[in-house]
Amino acid sequence: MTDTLQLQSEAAARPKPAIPLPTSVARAATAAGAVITAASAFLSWTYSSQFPGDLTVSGYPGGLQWITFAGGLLTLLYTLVGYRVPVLRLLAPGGPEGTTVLLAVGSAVTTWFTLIAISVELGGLANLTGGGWVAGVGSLVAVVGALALPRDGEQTQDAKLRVLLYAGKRPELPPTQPESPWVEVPVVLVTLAVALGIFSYGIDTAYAELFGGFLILTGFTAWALNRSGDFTRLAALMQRNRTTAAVGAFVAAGLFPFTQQGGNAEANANLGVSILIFAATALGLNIVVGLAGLLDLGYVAFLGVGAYTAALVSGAAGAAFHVQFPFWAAALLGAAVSGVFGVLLGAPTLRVRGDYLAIVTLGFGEIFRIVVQNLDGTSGPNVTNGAIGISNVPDLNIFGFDFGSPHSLGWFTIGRFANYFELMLLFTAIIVLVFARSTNSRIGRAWIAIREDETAATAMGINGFRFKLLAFALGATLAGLAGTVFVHVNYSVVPDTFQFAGPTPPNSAFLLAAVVIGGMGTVTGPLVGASLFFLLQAKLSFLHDYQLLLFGLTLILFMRFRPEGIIPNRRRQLEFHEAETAEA
Amino acid sequence: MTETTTATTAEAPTPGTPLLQASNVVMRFGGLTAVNDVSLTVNTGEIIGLIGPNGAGKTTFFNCLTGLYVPTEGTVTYQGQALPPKPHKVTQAGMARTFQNIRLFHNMTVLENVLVGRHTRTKEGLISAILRGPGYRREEAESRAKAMEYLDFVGLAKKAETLARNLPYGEQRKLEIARAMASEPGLLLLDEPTAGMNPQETRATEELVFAIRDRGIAVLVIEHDMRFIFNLCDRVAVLVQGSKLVEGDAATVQGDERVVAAYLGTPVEGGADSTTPEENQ
Amino acid sequence: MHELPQNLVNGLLLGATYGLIAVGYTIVYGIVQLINFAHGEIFMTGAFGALSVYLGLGSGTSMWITIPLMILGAIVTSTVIAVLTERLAYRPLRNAPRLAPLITAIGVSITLQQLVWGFYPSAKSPRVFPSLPGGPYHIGSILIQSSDIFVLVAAVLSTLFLAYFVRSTRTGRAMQATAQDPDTAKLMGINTDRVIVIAFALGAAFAGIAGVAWGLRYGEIKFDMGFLTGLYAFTAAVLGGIGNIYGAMLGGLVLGLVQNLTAIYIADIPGMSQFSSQSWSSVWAFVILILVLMVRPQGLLGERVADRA
Repeated sequence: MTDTLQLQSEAAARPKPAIPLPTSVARAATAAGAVITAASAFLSWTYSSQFPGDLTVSGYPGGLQWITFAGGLLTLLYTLVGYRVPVLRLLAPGGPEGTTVLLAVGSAVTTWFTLIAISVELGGLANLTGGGWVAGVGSLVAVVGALALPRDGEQTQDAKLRVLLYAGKRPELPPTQPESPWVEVPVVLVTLAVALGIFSYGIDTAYAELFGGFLILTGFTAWALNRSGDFTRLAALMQRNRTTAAVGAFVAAGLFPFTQQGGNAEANANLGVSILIFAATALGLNIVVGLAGLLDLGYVAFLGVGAYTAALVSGAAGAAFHVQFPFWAAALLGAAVSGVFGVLLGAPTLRVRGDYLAIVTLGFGEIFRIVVQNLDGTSGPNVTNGAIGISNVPDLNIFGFDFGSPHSLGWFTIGRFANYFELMLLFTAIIVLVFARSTNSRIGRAWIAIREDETAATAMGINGFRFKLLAFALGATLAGLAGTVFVHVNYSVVPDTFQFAGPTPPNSAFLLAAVVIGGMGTVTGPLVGASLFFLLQAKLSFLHDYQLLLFGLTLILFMRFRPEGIIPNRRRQLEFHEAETAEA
Repeated sequence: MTETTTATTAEAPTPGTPLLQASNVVMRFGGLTAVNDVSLTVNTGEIIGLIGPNGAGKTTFFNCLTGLYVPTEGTVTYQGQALPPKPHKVTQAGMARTFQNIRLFHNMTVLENVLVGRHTRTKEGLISAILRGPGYRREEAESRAKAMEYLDFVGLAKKAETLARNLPYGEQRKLEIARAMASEPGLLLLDEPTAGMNPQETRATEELVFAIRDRGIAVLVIEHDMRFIFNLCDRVAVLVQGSKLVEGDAATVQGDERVVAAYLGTPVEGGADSTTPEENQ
Repeated sequence: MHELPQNLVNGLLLGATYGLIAVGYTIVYGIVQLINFAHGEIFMTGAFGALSVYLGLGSGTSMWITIPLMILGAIVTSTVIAVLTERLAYRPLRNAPRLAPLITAIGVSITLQQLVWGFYPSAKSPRVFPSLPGGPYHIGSILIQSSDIFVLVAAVLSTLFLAYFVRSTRTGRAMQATAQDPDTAKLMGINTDRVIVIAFALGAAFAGIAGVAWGLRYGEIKFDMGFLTGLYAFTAAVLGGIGNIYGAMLGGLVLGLVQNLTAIYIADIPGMSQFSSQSWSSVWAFVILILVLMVRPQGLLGERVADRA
């Protein structure tokens, strides 16, 4: 760990810690604060059991106390890294101090979030017991200690961001040598298991306060691990073992319904399958926007085309055609019809200037909605049953496996939505495969070339129009495929689902935002973006009225401060920060 | 550039068969005639220069040849076939180009840039890219090998995994040439390949162009740098105000009074010790 | 309802409103090459600004005082919001890839809509807008409301003002110069930041006037009225040739006419009678947009621009 030693020797030239204390005292204070914080979770925090999660019990943590407990432990872990404890030193290649600051602040924020929530909901600070105060003070001690630690990482010169980026930026890390597969593969598997655990916990949070605490700590931890360089190392590891990682992720996701066996199992599985449908659609959009650079604002219409196609041949009572195709045929038909629509829309419009495409696709999205609304027998021929939509879409039955009823598997019960979850997971895997393989091929390179510089791309012999049309059609096809599952999961399809912007996903604006906020041109970006959207929407229902407002603001803020999204694509990150580096 | 030859203009190869024939090309934008009745022939194995003061219509003429513009009048044929006015079809036919203001795919790696250049010489489609059959793997491997070979040719093999934007200026020019060569052209069009280069880099580019010609690729080059052009080219055409003033070997052009008057301002002595007024623009 | 003259008049009036909004799209696009998706919302906030003034004055005030103040209120609201969004959201992204400001514009659009929806008193459902007294007037078989006269006067005056502004004022000429070549304009000492702000402000002022016109004509305003209207106005701007100010007006008039006439004449095509209803009219508007982009992407008054290699 020569790099961390170097960081020490450079310390003289670095900005001073916010709180002047000897480093040994600072470190001890951080560790002590972290231990107190974690331990306080075993105390009672309040007198009343009316606060959700019942925090009155001493002896073991409950509800939000678990979050504080986790925060305390994580802070302690990285404080020990600062002590250069053997083995643990492998963590935080980008420097442990900034990481510790972020974790200490993160657990203090969640702890105080809980304390304030208790006081507000139960009416006053008097509702806090000594245990609550111990937690609050302990977490603050850890923050004070962390703020007195020497500062590592790259410090910003920007005065406006000095407070926000106190923890510094992750320095450039030297590339690592691969370890033996006996080390690497278990690390991959443990990482995936942890990811599954975190996701399952988050989706199963029963009340908004718990989800809020969960979200705060997860956010700070993600920031901290990014700062520490652990994410970079993990990403490199995953890249080296990508087949293992991909298959492992697929299996981990497949295990998700097995983690959901309680009373909320079906609701959570429903959330899970909705996330998958949305994410798969967003991945299709990512081909169009992220790779080929074409802004499509009416993309949800293709999901709609697939959904309506599948509904029309499902044998549903409300459908205009009284036929029932086997699902594989309906899925292929839905994807094909959607692809044809993509070509029909793309052929006339992809020749025009890029900005116009945004408007034309927006128009197409609206046309689709209005047309299906009007094909009701009065305003037009009856095909889609108008605004009422096609309902009573029957459940799938593939090879005698009834998706509509629960099945038992050993100790586990797999309900209706869980059945569909597994089906959609398969579809998502296909879409991920298509995305990943087409990206890294002659076709994908042509798309990126067009996005980068269309004139140069055509001078290299790329038929710009043809390849843009291909991206457009492929995106449409994938969305159509997702739509065929969508309609069976939801029993019905109505025109109002397919708006440009609305309070509930999926709609075109949310899809675009999942791609943009998640990370353009990446596989994981839309998956993360989609999960965030659905979880926020489902768990923070009290924000329902302000959801779209927050959404709009988030878009603006992301474009301003992190245009490459949560999971940046290597290329994109460079492209967006080109102006900044040029100025520097 | 290990295989650079010592060829000089003195021992220029005998002109081969006509490769590119532009006849009476006229390009008008509204009322402005940017290119007026220009004819030019490039034969196999030749290096042809196109010079002229700023705004003489050189790049516009280039764009007419490469299909970026559709000439108002006149025809352009390549190997006897009329060239379709679509840049990608021109490249397909066997003419590749570089740009005056370097147009690389900045956020792709050096290798990926050259792989894009291979586009017309590969044919695997979306389905095979997804299925990754043996045919696809073979073609991709072959493509990478060829791309590395071109990078090696221009001396960038070590930087294959660097992002194009991170290359220094001179290497970006080289990469653009490698990318154009990856499409295996019969004729390479270079638009001011030495713009912004220092004398050493210019000299190296000269060697590179000879090496390209020795691989059997004809070259048509636009330049401001007189010395570069007269050292390099078998024939030079001078464009002034959209019209071709004169065409001939270096000596003919340098000796032509109209060229001196219209373009150089002061006489050039055998291409030596001359600086061109445009060099710094 | 085959009353051609009446439909022509209605189409022209609708088109004039589109034209007023389209001017904003076209000026901003001409100068910064940004499709300001939020412009439809600027139009909407103008209408709400005017309504606030009306409610503030109380119903006893004379129309001759109320209406000018309402117009002023609309212009101030729209302009302030447009300038703020330019300053806070778009300006920091001036050198970013083109996708970034476009996505920001979508964010601004949604934010503005939701701010009005969530915080303007009882704006969750349509709000009644005052109407002009007097009328309707009969001219032959044509029926004209007082609000129609307002639209007509507003459109004519605005176009005249714009023509004067662009041709004869220093700022107008600086604007033209910046549109042609921002870098050179900067070298020539033009404060391009200021020109861009003025472009946003000017477009917003017209959108504000259009907001008042809209409210007076239809009697109610709604938080999401900017979305579709903005789309139509953008279509009008493209139709006229984006970047061309007169084109925007012309495009608006043409689109308004076409929208009104297709609704009538499609019914005469055998088998198409079902598709003539109001609910299909937006479909036809977009079909027109796509046709225009295919046949004449530079628009009616636009010029072809060559891509420089």
